[in-house]
Order: sequence, then structure tokens, then C-alpha cells
Amino acid sequence: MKTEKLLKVMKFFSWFAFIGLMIKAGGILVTYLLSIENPGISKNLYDGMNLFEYRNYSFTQYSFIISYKILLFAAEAYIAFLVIKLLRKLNIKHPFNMEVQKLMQQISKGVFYLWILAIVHNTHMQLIGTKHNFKMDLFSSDFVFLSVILFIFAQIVKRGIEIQSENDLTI
Amino acid sequence: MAIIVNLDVMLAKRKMKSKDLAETIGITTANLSILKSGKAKAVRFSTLEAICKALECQPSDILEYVND
Repeated sequence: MKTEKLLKVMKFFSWFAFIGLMIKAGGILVTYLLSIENPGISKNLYDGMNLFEYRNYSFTQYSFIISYKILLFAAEAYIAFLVIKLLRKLNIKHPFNMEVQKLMQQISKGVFYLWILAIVHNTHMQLIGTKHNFKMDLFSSDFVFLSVILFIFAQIVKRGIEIQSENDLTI
Repeated sequence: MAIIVNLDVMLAKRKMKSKDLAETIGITTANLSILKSGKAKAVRFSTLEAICKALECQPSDILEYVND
């Protein structure tokens, strides 16, 4: 009963994170489009994000950084969506099923791609930022460990499914 | 599969229906069907014992090894 309640709370938080991240990605996209005409907007793109120096330096570089950020938040939102799907499919009485295993593997892959994207984004920003002494707004890139752990869990669930199916076929 | 289940043959010899055997040994007809079709991954000794008792036969009458 406790676990079921906890799962419901987690589902609520996942929806919350999903909507929040979608708004964040959308907000950056809209302010970016507005900043094409009015460069001053790039001082406060979303929640105090200031990329004015990059905008003045090169519009192409600025656009690249913005697209990384949109992709990063969209990827995070996608992971949150997968978590929602996982929580919806999760049945505490029969937790080992192929759908749950596939979703876990997808989440693990998603986190791994997010890590790669974050590294590319940070490297790009640091390359320009350090050269011209700009203010840097880096993205956390400590996901690889989480990705590996999730992948291991997905493999454990896969083995669990095999054992369960063997057990089901024991007459 | 190397292990062949000859349950159908024994049932025919004893002129017994699958449904009756399932009822006698206490398993579902669906599970008996899995056993007959060779889809089962394992057979419990208790199930084998019950089948042998119901059909008055030996385990070797039901299970056969074929080298493939």
C-alpha cells in the first residue's frame, strides 16, 4: 500500500517535471525567436539566463548554444515522459514485464544521450567563453553514472522476466 | 527439443480425456496443454508422480529422449 502511494506521488512529480521542462524549452525557443529582432532580450532569455555576450559575439554561435539548450531541456522532458509511462505500466503484483524492461532501457539510453549533449554544450560554451572571458551558464553533466546504473537495473529486470517465464512454464 | 512428451499416446492407450486427467492430477487444462505441446520448461516431480498414478504408467512411458 505504501509503495503504491509512493508511486502515485512519483507519477505526480514526473508530470510536474515534464510540464516544467516543456515550458522551459518552449520559453527559451520563444525568447530566442524574439531576440533575433531585439538583441536586448538575450540578457534574460529564461529565468535569468544571460547570453547577451554570445549574441553580440556571433549570432551563429549564439544560435548553436540556444539549440543545445532547447535540445537538452527537450531531452530531459522526454526522459520525464518515459518515467511517467514507466510508472503507468508498473504493476507491483507483476513488476517484471517486457514493457517495463524496454522503458528502463530507453530511459538509460536517453540519460546517456543527454550526458553526451551536455558535454558537447559545455565544451562549446567553454571554448568561446574562456577565449573571450564571457559569463558561462554550464549544464550539469554527471549523468553517465546514473545511465550505467539504470542500464544494469534494466538487465536485472530482463533476467527477472526470463526467470518468471521459466517459472510460469513449470508444470 | 530433445525431450519428447508422449502424454497423448498414453492418454489414447488409457482411453482417457485430457480434461479428466487434468482434473485428476489437479492442474488446469491450459497447463496440461502446455505440457502436451512440449512448451513446458520443466515438470515438477509431484506432477509427474500424479500423472503416472493416474495413467498407471512409468515416467519413461511419458518422457522420451531423442538425440537431435
